[in-house]
Amino acid sequence: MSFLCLDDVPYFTLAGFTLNIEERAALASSLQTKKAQEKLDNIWLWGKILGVQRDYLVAQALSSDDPFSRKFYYSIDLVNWLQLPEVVGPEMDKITQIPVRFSGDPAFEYTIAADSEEGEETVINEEKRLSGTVALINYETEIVPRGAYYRDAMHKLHKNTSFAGIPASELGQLTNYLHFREGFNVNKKTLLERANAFDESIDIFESVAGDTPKGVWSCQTERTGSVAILRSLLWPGYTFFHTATPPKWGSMYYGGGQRNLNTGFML
Amino acid sequence: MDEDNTSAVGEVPDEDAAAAPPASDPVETEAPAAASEDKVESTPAPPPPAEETAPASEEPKAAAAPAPPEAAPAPEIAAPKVAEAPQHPFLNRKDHYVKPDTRLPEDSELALAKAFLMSQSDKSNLNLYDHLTEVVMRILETRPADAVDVFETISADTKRSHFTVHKTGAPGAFLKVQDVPPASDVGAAQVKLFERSDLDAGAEETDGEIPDILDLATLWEWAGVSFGKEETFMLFLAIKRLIVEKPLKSVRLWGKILGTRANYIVIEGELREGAEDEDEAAANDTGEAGAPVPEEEEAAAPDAGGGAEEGAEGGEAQKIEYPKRKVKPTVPLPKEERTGVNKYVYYVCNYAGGVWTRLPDVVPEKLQAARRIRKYFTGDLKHKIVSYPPFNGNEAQYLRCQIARISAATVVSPAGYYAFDQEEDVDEDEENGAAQRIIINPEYEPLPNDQLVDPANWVHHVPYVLPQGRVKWENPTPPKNGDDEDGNDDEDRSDAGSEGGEGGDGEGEPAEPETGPPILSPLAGDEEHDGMASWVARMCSSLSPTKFSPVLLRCTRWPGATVISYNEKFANVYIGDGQRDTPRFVPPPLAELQKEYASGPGAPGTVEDITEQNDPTLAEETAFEEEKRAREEEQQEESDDEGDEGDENASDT
Repeated sequence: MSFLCLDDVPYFTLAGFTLNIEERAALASSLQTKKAQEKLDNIWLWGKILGVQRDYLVAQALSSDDPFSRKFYYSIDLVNWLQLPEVVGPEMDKITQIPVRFSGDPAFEYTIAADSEEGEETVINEEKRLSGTVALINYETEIVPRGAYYRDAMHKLHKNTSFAGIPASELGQLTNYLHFREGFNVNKKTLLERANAFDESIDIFESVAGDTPKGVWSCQTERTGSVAILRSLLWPGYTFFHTATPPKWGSMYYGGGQRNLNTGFML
Repeated sequence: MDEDNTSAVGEVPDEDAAAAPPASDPVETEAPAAASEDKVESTPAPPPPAEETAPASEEPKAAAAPAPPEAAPAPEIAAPKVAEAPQHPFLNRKDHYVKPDTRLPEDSELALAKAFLMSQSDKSNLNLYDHLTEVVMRILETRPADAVDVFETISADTKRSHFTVHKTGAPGAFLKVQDVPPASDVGAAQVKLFERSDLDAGAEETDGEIPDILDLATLWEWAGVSFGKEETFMLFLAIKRLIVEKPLKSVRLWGKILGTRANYIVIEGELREGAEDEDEAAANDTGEAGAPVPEEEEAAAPDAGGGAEEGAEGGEAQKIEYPKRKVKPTVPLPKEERTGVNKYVYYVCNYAGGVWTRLPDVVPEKLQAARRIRKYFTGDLKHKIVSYPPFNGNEAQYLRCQIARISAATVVSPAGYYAFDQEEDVDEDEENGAAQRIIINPEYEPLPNDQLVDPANWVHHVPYVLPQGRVKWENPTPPKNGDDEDGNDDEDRSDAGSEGGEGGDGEGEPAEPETGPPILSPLAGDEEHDGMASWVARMCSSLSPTKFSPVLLRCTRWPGATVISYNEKFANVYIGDGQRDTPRFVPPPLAELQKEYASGPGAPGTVEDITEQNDPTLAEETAFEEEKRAREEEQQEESDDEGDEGDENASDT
């Protein structure tokens, strides 16, 4: 349940968006079919990128032993899922320079001006851009509640089956939500920080409370304080929910796939 | 009692088990973690240079056994691509465990672990530290054979031997104070919605029109927009309550603005004609408190003048003359009352069931300012907007301005649904196309879905807001107000024609009237936004026949604005953060620094040219002094010369 179940989609109505009946019905069957075809361990809906002409639905699959190695699939007709290509270093830089919206045509080509005069123009098609953007959003925003994962004595990452959810009184605290990504360096925390409220087995990711600029996460509680909704203002559209009764969490992206470059002015 | 006991016994180990993993973790991570690392290093140890080969030997091991994933991606790290472009941490990511370089001092780690063990359980009032002490004591005292096999029994027995009261009502039982989460007034307020009140019973006839939100909600869901099922129903009840309490003719669920700490649900209402709006004063009053910048300045100016006069009278000792602030006499543009941008009143609340607050009316200056800034809403109406260029107001005013802008740009209806009111006085219409009244066309025939999917068949039925911040152009009475036209490059639904015409902010010249597209102009006339059409239309369902598929229109200029239509029904709704789509927002550059004094030959008040020089050095200064003295002496001599010439000759020699 660490990823988005289709049953949990109604939680996102609290942030104003949802999937319509046709999408939900089609996804329920097409994702399962894809899973069987590709012999995947699991497949989850990741979100929806709104294009000008058409929208992309994006799904992700992960191997059961490493939650960070992902495969992404996209679909424009709800039925056929195509795998997104890998994006390598220099291309990723180019992708972040595209300011316009997604057009809705995977073959659409963006021409990016050269960095220097002798450099060449780069052409990136929208499929690649989609892939890069999805991976980047995932890296920068994906979060889990604190305590949902732990590292055992062998430093292996496990899902914590006895995680009971964050108590209702603490749902609104940003320190309870951690970035679900690799590369946490415990040495960045001072000993003083480690001396209070720090647990080496649970505090294995960075907390979103430390993200800059301050206030880049909007955290609200809904349904009389039983559900927490976190929205990223850096990637408007990324929404995360968590509730303790029953302990569930999930996130979904629903937006234009553009990073908000104006955050500094808007907070 | 037996049952209680057994259940207690049943529970206790459970709880222990639940507590155990976290309990053991901090302890284990120190000792066994270190131990396991030792193992990893020591297993391939047999060749003597163990320390150097250890990291290298880890890799083949990891490749062979996929178990430790923290080592598995290591070969990927070595790939050259990462080394080339380490710009974004995303490209450098790898899942690995970073060993802490420094550790807490052993005694404080021990103290932390002990503190954890000593945390009291709510259920049994025991803590693990005391319990373990007791168990170990007991084993040492009684010395059972094969103690390890009977450990659980002894532990359970020790627990049972404590006197605990399981029934909360039993005499002598401690009553626990529950931790109450911060009072949920949201729940209490929402319960009130479901209570029957006298208001509901009597007022049925005088009620204004309320929309069938629940019906519209199914339509919105097709467009991927939702307020939440339960929330929509509560909202429906809340709107029903609102229309009884306030003198409203009709209301519309305008949408929802997402804020950083709370959201706003916005209701658009039309006041009954002639009805007194008691909230008006209160709503606009709060607005005015922050608004009247010119007034403040005017108030400040006489004060300063008075102070200066007093100082002059009081004596030279404390005569400090502060420079007076030059106040440009700006006469605020009159705001429109119950027409134009202020035709509708808006009520907002943070959640369904919350208190409805009426937003202040749009003040033209505020609307101009709102066009120049971008700020997230916080969810607190009294929050002061801190921005550059300054907005000088609170969030309620900013919210109202954004609502006016969004409405003007995105509220649309199918062509033919509204028609011009024929009975209206024709002369007035000619003067001002924008002020023309529209009414619902009684002869309107709904267009089929496949025609509605063309944006050309949709028209704006909310009048265009001029750059001035009004719908009807008002000649700014003193023609000297250059600032007003600043916002004209930032119109909401602009067409190029209107922008070109209104550069006339020259001083002294009468300002040229601003014009915009007339009301009921088709969407096709909206200018392109950022290289794409302003409106995008599509069918919600790709498979159902067009007759059964709702049509969705999205505004690209204001992301979040959606129009959904299904045969004869259509609905506009906005759910978003209330900001226009601007990929890169560039605030206007700071104005040039004001000069401290007038300079240059032509400047008023200049006596002579002032030029900048370096400070003289000591040598130059002494030279100057000497020269001066010499000159003075010379002068003296000259004056002496006039009297007596012979002396001069004497002094020369």
